[in-house]
Amino acid sequence: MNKIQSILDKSTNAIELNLLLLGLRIYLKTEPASHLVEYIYYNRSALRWSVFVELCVIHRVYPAILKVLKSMPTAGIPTETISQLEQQRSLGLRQSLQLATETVRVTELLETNGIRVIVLKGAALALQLYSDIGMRPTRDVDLLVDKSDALKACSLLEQLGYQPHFEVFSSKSTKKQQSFLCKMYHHEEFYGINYSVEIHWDIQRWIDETTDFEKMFFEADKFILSDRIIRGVGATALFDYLATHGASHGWCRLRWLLDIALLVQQHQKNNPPKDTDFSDFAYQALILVHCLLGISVNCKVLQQITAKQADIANKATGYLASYSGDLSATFSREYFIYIDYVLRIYFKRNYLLNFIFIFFSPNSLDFKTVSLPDKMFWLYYPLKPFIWIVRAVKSWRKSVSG
Amino acid sequence: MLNSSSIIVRTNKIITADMDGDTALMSVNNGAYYGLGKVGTAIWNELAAPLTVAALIEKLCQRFAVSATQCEQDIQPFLGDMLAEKLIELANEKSSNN
Repeated sequence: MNKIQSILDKSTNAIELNLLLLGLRIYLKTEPASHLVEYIYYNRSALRWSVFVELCVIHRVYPAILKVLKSMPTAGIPTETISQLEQQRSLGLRQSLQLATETVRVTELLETNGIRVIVLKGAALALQLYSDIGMRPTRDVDLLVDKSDALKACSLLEQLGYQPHFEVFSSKSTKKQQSFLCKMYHHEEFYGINYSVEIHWDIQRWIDETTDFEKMFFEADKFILSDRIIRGVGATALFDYLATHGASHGWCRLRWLLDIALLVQQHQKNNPPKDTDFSDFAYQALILVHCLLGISVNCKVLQQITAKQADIANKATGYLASYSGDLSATFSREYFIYIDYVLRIYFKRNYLLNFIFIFFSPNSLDFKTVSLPDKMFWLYYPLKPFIWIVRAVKSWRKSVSG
Repeated sequence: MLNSSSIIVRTNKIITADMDGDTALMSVNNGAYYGLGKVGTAIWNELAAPLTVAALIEKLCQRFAVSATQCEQDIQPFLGDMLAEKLIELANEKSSNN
């Protein structure tokens, strides 16, 4: 715990980040509100409120922080800070409502076509954990369908005007190519004019276990959204899902930890994780919500944690503390911290082999560049570097002529 | 036009969110966004179940310490707008006509 605090204190935004974490602990009622007043008083000369607002937005926790700050009118918080957070909250709330209406529209379309749907995150998670759509800012709609319905679901999305990104089920692909891409990607991303929608048929990127849709659908939590009943991931599967999802992003946004903290509080999911493929991620999640957000965990969790798991949690804290909001900021310092974290996760069982296999496997762009019959599918592997060169040359020519 | 015996209720093609006690609404049908203040939110909450306009006025009078006449004058245009925007609907047109 001391190690994690010392990592946070080394951050260039340590004062603001610690205030943010304190605000979240007050929101979760794991720390008394009076500590915030004291913290602000003792750090009044060094505290940069504009950086604090920026961090609230980067970590997407501004609704919870705003709620805490507005409940403490005498804490010495500048009115400008409150109004900046209110402005952000209004924008976020409007977007969350728009995405919730799109969730209703898309689920209605899929369900009337006989496709069962589970809403991952988004409106379902907001209602499940926060009881209000506006409390959890969201940027897209994520839906889980049974693998056997994935092709039909993707076609229906295209009929609504959405454009597929990976083109997993492109009509130009052969059956073998479609089946290969379906295993390779766990979802298809669709871009619309205003929103993006992801159709998932598997929820785990790194885990070998395939999604048991029947079980998840049976155990799903139900919510009323507009005039429809929507299903969200049930509490048991939700913990594994959120832990794996957060870890896959290096826990860079505190919003994911806040989700887990609320889930642990509401469903007492604080016991040592069972020894499954998910357990490393689950341990990380529990350590981080305990150390950063003050969530009580079963003492066995702290006793059973291995040095390696603790080290990975420290790495995640380092990444979280250095995160500036751009996941794609390649070759920046925080990017290398993320890579370091990811490599430590991959160096377990067969994850590294999977990573290498995926890296050298053909993708939808390769299939579009060179079309081979299914009998010669294996040729995509040795040809991959040459196909990449062909594509790079084409792209270069296009940019020169354009 | 609504009268005191009109039975009104929220339409269900709406998604709502809380905003410090105020309410933000979005229509699923046309994506229109609305913000309700404290009184608007109180009206919206009361209309979760069908209610006559007279019963609604009575509840608001109890809550906001205002006369029935004043309350009716204040909320009639608001209810008319909500009806026009399809945020609320007549729950039972027959009974309102009787």
